[in-house]
Amino acid sequence: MRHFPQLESGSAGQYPMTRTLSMRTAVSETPGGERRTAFDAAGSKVRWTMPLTGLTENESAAIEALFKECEGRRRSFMFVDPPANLLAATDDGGSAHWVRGAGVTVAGGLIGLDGQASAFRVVNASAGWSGVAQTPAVPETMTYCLSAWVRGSAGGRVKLRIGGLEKLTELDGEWRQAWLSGTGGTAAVTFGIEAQAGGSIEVYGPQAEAQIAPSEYKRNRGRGGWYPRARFDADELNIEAEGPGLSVCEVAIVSPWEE
Amino acid sequence: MAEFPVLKTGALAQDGLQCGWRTETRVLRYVDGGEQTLKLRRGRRRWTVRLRQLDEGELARVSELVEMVRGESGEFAFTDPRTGVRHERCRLEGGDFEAYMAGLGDGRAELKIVEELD
Repeated sequence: MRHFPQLESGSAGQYPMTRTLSMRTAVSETPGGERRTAFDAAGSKVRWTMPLTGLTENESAAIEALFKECEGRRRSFMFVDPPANLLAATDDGGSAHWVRGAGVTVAGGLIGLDGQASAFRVVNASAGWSGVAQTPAVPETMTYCLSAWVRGSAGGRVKLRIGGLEKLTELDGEWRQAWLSGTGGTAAVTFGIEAQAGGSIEVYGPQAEAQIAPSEYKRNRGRGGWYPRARFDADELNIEAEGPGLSVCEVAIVSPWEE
Repeated sequence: MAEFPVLKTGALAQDGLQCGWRTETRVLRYVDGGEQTLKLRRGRRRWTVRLRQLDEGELARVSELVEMVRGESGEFAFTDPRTGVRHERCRLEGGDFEAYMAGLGDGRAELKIVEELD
């Protein structure tokens, strides 16, 4: 999959970064001030501007190779929004975005750490580990971090899974953040949160990010922050040497807004 | 109904908040010096909310609101921090929303909010 490269630090971008949402709305107003609006999803877009500094030779070569392959603005690539949560419907484990494993039931509307009805319970009635999972169409070669606040009134354990990577975390009655990072493997990347056989866990703030450690939880009521139709927003790429083996360049990327 | 997000501090906005009104009136002047005024459109209450030093989660909540209401298209509730009055039929002015992350815990954004009045 053609995608914007992750930096060697394991992050997908650097500060400072600007993300501009352009939501196109057709507006008509009557002489009396009555206003009618029609949202134009197809005409809406997201744009990122990232000045990247301290790039290693490999990093700048990867960006340059992508630019050449795409021929500037001509071809699209997958862009994983650096600070975004890649999971969809993060406060609703019963949503169709989540795939429930065998014997799993999900109950939503539990009070989460934010005091809102934003957590959900995963009950596993099967004879093995099972839970909920999402498989966003993100590049399998990137490093991801999956995190979630979890608790279990009866104790037990929770298993976080990124592709073939797994991590177990002991539970008690208090919210604690479980997280796991690494590269999922060669197949499509599945992010899973599982309870042990006959177990029950409460989950708040599930988050998958293209970086090595969890950041602040970003709730997504709709889809996750990955953009398969992104492209460079310039036909020119300038890479400037800033020291031995280090370069700097500014990248502008634009994508249609994804619903 | 969508609600303008409250910051982690519990604040509804930060210093730099601007509030104002906008009307549109045509003033007709006659040769005898008299005047007649016409109200051309409904009045608007406006706020400009400038946010600084937001963490990624707070900035994401503001961005989420913009996507949820589809930019200028949808309505949401905004509580004026000066008066505590909740205005339920607010909308964004302008279709662009720029979220600038200067560094960790230093997200910045600015939104223009309007409420149509009778």
